[in-house]
Amino acid sequence: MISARSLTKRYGPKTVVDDLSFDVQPGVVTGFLGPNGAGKSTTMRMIMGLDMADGGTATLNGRPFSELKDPMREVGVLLDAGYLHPTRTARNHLWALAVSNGLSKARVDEVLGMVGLSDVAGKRVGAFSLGMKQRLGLAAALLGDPSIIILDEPANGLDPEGVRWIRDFLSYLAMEGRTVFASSHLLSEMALMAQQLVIIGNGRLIAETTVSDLVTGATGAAVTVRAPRLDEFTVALAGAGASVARKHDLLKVTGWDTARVGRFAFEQRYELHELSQQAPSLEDAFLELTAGAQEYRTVSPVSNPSSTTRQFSTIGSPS
Amino acid sequence: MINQIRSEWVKMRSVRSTLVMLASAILLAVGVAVIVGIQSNDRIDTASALIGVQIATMLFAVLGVQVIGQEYRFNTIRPTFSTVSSRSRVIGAKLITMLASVAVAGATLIAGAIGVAALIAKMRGIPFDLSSGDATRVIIGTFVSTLLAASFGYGIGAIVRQPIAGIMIALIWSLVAEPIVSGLLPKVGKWMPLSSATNLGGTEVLDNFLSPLAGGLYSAAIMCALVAIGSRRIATTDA
Repeated sequence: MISARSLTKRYGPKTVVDDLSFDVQPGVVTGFLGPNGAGKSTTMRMIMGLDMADGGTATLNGRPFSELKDPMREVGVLLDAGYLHPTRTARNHLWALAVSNGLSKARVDEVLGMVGLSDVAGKRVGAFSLGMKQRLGLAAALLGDPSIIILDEPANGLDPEGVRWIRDFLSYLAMEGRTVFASSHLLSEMALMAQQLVIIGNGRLIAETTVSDLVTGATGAAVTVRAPRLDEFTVALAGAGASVARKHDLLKVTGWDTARVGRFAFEQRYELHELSQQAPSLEDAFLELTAGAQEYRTVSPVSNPSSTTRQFSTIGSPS
Repeated sequence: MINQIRSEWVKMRSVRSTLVMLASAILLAVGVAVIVGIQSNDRIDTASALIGVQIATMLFAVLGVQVIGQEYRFNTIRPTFSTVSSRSRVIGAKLITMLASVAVAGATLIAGAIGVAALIAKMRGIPFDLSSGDATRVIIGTFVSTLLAASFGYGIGAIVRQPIAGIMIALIWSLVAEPIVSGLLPKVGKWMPLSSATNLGGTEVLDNFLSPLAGGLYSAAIMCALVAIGSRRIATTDA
């Protein structure tokens, strides 16, 4: 288990992590989300004792990192796949780390096999692709068979097969009862990978929740309706108190579920050609939650953002 | 601590720069000994035979910078500090490993240079005397110089935490700054940390510097201070 209590980090006048507290439980994959510059990497570095906290504490299974005897047996970490000496071989990179914690050479070869790098174990890592470096970093994290695994952007640089592999692998590690804490910008991946979420913005905790609760609670949830007498049905729904938005031949109803919309249509004798639940994506929920907490804002090149929930804007008030 | 020393040894021997450095030192030490042996007229003295080793001490200073500086250049210091909870243990293990390696390398270079010089002297039929007290001072002094130079490099590397800048500072300080100060201001020059150790392995004991023992001890104290400052900086700042 990872516990952060009132973690604070300042760089000069700027507070990048501000009184941050959260828990990461074993047995599930916990995603660590936040816009660029939110303080995710700094938080992970403070947990590992790499950056000195200006306030607060972080513990790993109840103890701060500085009190761990052989840290690799407790916590494995991958902060950046590029933290490698280019002229050192993959095996020597792992061996140098392993021997510091009293681990065997056999374990080095074992983890190289687990991440699929056995064939290139004797090659210098300077020639590795980003995906191979990522796998090597993961191998380093797994060396001590730790109960806690912390990964910063683990899917970064991996091909689709690699992304699926790491997703399955992390889920497997969590199923074994380990604490898995992973940050990612790939929200679609996080939706598939994580069950719990810690979301921060501007260094502060925004939400500590589950993926399903976050998505369910987002305002993007709506019912899509296609009907031949759409104009009349729109007016009828609005008159009954539903929040509706029209675009072309589609109607989006928010605040009502499909059963209620269907029953209303049946009672009012409207013919429907489509009635479907439109769930917001994790991306929608995340963007909604972190609006205002983004350090670096962008302007959309198109008038309507890609999210379908945002294409309806004429009637009602979907987010 | 033993495990950490083993780890640092793996790191040191598994990068190309260490091997290049050691190969260069061997070439320098043996090559200069060969040249001195061939060029000497009536006898070969120990100090002359070890000139190559004296020059190679600069490479050991560079090695000292590299041992710590490269960890920061390639950010491997983060995986290192993520696997060991005590930074002072890492810093200490690095220093011990580096000094032990330099001690072995320095002793080997000295033995190699003397061996080559003795062989050439025998082939040419000229004397090469190793039994005098001065020869003993030169051999021990040269050996200690290699350790002092490596410690100097390590201290600079730990303070600046950047290998290129560290190497530039170490080389400019030892090859430019100290010789200029010693030449222009002899009274100040003898208190320069590297110049003060000049008498340790020189061809003759110079009056304008500290005695071999005093100079060596003074230089060692300065190197210890540099290492302590660098270690403190590493232990107390973000990795």
